[in-house]
Formats: sequence, C-alpha cells, structure tokens
Amino acid sequence: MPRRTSKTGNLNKDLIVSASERRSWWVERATWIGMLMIVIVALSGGLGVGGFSHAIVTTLPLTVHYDRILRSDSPSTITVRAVATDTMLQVELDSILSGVHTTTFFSPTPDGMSPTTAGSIATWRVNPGDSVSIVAVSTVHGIGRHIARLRRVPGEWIALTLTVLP
Amino acid sequence: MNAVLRPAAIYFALLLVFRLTGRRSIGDITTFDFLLLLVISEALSSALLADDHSITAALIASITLVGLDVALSLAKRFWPALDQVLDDEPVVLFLNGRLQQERLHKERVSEDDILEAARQAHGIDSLDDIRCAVLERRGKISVMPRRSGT
Repeated sequence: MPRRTSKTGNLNKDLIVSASERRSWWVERATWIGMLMIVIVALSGGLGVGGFSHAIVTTLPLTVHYDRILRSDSPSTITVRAVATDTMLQVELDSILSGVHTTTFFSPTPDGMSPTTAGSIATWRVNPGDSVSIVAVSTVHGIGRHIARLRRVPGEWIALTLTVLP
Repeated sequence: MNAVLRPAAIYFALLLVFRLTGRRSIGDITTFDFLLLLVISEALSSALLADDHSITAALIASITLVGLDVALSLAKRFWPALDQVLDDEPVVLFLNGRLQQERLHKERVSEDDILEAARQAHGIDSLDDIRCAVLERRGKISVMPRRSGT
C-alpha cells in the first residue's frame, strides 16, 4: 500500500510514493548494476581486446597470439612466433582469416605475398635458427563466429576461433 | 579495455579542466561557449575511441561516461566534502545594497550580469530593488528582490 507523505501546498497534488514510482527506482538501480557489469566485462576483455579475449595457440613450430573476441571495424593484432628452420619462413592464411582480418600493417614486411587455393601465403627471408616474431595489425570485419586457420608451410593448420561483435 | 579507460580518462580530465577554470564556463552559456563546446567535442571524439569504429565500443564508452556521472553523484551524496570539492559553494555577490567587488572580480561576474538575472527572473531593472544576489553552484545567478517597504 503506498504511503502518503505530504501535500504540495497550492498545487494540491499528493506526494505519494506509488508502486509505479518504486518500480521505476528499482529499474533505475538495476540499470546501474547492469551498466557496471558491462564495464567490468569490457575491462576484462569479454567485449573485445583484453585479458579474457586474449588467446595463445601453439602448434610447433608456430605460436599464435590473438584475440578470440573482436569488434567489427576496430583494430586487432595477431602475433606469430616461430623458429626458422630454413632460409624462408612461409605462413599461409586461409580466406576466412584474411576476410575477418584485413591486414593493414605487417612487421616485418613480408618479402612476398602470393595467393593459394586456401587463401594466401606470406614469405619472409630469415636465417636458419632465428626466432622470428611477426606482428600483423588489421581491421576486423564480418560480424559473427568464425573458425579461421593459419599454418606454417609446410605444416599443420592451426584453428583460431574468432567471435566478431558489432 | 581502451573503450572504458579512454572515456574515463577524458571524463576526469574534463572534470578537472572545467572545475579549475571556474563555474562560469558552463553556468551561463553564451553563443561562443556553445561553439567552444562543439569544438571541444570534435577535438575529443577521435581521442575517445581512437581507431575503434564499432558499435560495441561506442556503447561501452557511453555507458562508461554515464556510469561515471552516476557514480560521482552517488559519491557526492555519501561524502559531502567531495561535493564541495567538485561543485564548490554558493557565493553572495550582492547583499543589502552593497556589491561584493572582490567576489565579482574573482568569479568574473559583472554588475550587468546581476541585473540581467534580475530582469529575467523578476523584471527588476535596478540594484536598489534587489536584496540579495547569489552565484549558485551550477553557475546561475539567483536574485532575491527587496520586499516592498523594506
């Protein structure tokens, strides 16, 4: 039952804390808690780049550092580490990975890029035994969940699970 | 993470800037103040989210800014000292026929500003008809008219 508190003088309007008013306060406070949760999830990487999103996949001789949760039209970084066993290091990216990640910058710059049936191959000239770290900065596209792949040529494919948010 | 930290940093930086430059920055907004706000928002928009053009990032940034505002208002309610630091206190500019010149100078308010507030609120066009004028915490000048016969 609403509690009558006072009247507003000449306006003769009852100042009653009604059930609907209490409900709106409850909704307001619930929204604050919801907002706090979203901020905490965002800080932890649940909505994009961050600790929770970061993943490392190792299938020797490659180690791939990437973000599982991405945001469309936002930048992302993939780091590939490998120990060179030859004078050339070749990394093949499948078309899904190339489609989700439009690479804008490689470091070091590949000595060659060539298309393949699966996607494309990037080639670097290296010294055998060198530890190579390749950083690919890209812009993310394609909202949804994707299983993308990359591999060292020759070698096994490594699957990367990518969830792209709007 | 940047979608939270960048807006938070900008929020506190702006809070500091506007607090340090004085209440008049927002209180009585002029055409030039409005243009200044537009230019500031344009300057900050790129810093807010950098290269991240996603809807999610925009929502996170908005939620962070609104959330900080709510959190500060709650904090001010629980810690009155914080309220004083962030919003200052009302300042009496005119009382019983006397202009408080030092306060007018410090707050960058002129006699004309008081008369303008008096005209708008009570249709008063003379300081003689004003009992008291106060620069409020939000930057507005409130005027109390002299009662007839006093």
